Amino acid sequence: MKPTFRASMAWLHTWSGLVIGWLLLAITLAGTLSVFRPEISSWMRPELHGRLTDADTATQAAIGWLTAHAAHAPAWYLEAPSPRTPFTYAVWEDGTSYAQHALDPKTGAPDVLRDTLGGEFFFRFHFELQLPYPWGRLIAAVAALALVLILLTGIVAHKRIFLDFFTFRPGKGQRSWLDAHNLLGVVALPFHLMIAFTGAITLANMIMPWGLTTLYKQDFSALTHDFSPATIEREASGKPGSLTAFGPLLADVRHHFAPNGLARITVTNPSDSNAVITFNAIPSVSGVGVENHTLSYDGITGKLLAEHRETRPVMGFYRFLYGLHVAYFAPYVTRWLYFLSGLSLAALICTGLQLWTSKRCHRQQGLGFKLVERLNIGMMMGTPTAFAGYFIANRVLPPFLANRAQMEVRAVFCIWAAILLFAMVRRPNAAWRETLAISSLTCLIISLIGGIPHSPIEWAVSLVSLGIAVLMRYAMRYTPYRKKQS
Amino acid sequence: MGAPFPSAGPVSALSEHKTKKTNLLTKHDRLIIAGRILAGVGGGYLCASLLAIASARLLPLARLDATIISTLMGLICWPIMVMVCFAARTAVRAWGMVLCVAICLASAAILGGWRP
Repeated sequence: MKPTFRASMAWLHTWSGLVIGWLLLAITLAGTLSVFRPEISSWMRPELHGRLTDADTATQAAIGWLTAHAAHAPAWYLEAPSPRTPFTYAVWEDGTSYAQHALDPKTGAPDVLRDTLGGEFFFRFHFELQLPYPWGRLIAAVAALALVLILLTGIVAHKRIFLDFFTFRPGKGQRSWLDAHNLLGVVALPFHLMIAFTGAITLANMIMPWGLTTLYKQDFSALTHDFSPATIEREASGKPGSLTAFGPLLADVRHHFAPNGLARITVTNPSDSNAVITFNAIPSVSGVGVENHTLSYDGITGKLLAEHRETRPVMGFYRFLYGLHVAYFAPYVTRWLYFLSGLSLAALICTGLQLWTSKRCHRQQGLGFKLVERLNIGMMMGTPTAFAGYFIANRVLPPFLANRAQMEVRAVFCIWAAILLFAMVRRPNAAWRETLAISSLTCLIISLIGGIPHSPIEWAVSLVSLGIAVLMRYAMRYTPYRKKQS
Repeated sequence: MGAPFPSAGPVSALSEHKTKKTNLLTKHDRLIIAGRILAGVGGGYLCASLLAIASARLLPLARLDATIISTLMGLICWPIMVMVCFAARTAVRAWGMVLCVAICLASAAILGGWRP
């Protein structure tokens, strides 16, 4: 028998999906949560209650604290306060490592708020996988392109893409899994393709730097200048200097950026007479692309050194693709659609993994099959449980423990490992129900842990986790695939 | 989603060595699959990189624009080369195609002034 193009693509779809599926599931779930990174960060810092000020006051407090306590860092990288994040998030070089803290809106000090990574954990895990540079990013980039491959082969393998869209036959074992897989795949297909390819683009310099190295060789300053023309590179002079007042500067920046908001502030050589302050706009109103507008000021005199507004078509296209992935532009409705589409991508991966085992469960079962069915359960239930555990760890650990942020992250990986181990040793059908029960319970605890919600963010966290808990409880009614097919 | 694994797909048609229908792959099958994976992943990446280099050299665009467009082309090229390698009738053909494409792209890049 001569294999058809479709059959060979179906084979490739199945096996590449199996190999990369578990990793993609973790990346997808972390990315889905990152859609609400600022909101999660706020939820994880309940100390913010009653400490809110307007954005510019908070920025000035942060700059004041950094000037007093981190003046000799080579640079400060600040995420400016905005309506979504009411505090400044600062990263700076502290000796050999990087310090990263949320700074109190009133005083600018980091120790008023509990030490946590907040939503930053999911965001970082999404593309760094908690691995040292560059390995995490390389693996994430390859996974993104693998997802492109899996989606393309899936489209080819799928015979009746439009007809199956209207087909769902529940309670029919493997057939139902396939229907669900098709439905989830088709309904958000443009999103899946977009998010996979733009995901690869955000990490393009990790895996496909060859065009760049051919044209720029080692000329990094030309690259920096071409890439963001308003970046000013100035060596430290060695002479001390004190930063200009931020109040007038911020007013000027808002005037230039209007109607867009301020996203990021970078201060290089903050205590030197050659200090430079760079501001980036957030694409909130005028378009999708990231970093479309940049302003650089002299740090001492406050004189505007350079301004760049992105009008170059190819660069604008690149920033547009990048912006589609990170969705900084998105208003709340779009943001929720990103969240739901992300969840549907996760479900698409889960049903795909489940199909692999349900197709093979009536055959001779080797070691490979047993490993896959157990890893499936461990990853499908372990990932959400571990991520949910992060929310609980944030509330349960004493607020001012030493190394608290690292302990929260450690809790995630301990829970993950425990569930994976449990799924390895337990009978699969029992493990399916029991791990789902644990996941459901963990999500339920999140929704109850804060008592009655006070703010919209607390309501959203409670309701979403309650919804997921109910879904997982519902999923317990189904044993995955051992039923005889009717 | 295609026929179940042993009766269709790239494996069975390539291997006449199977004696009975089981899930187990013969040594020959494994070798062929490994050959295709290597052609798709390794050779595909080689082609994608060469496409990025050649187009960076040859596109009549400003330096930054050529960099961006060539990188995007390289990125999309890789998964497509993997598909090509698995769609090819035999693993040897897959390798042949990869090498042909790679040589063409490398020549184009060298003509465009690229030196490895």
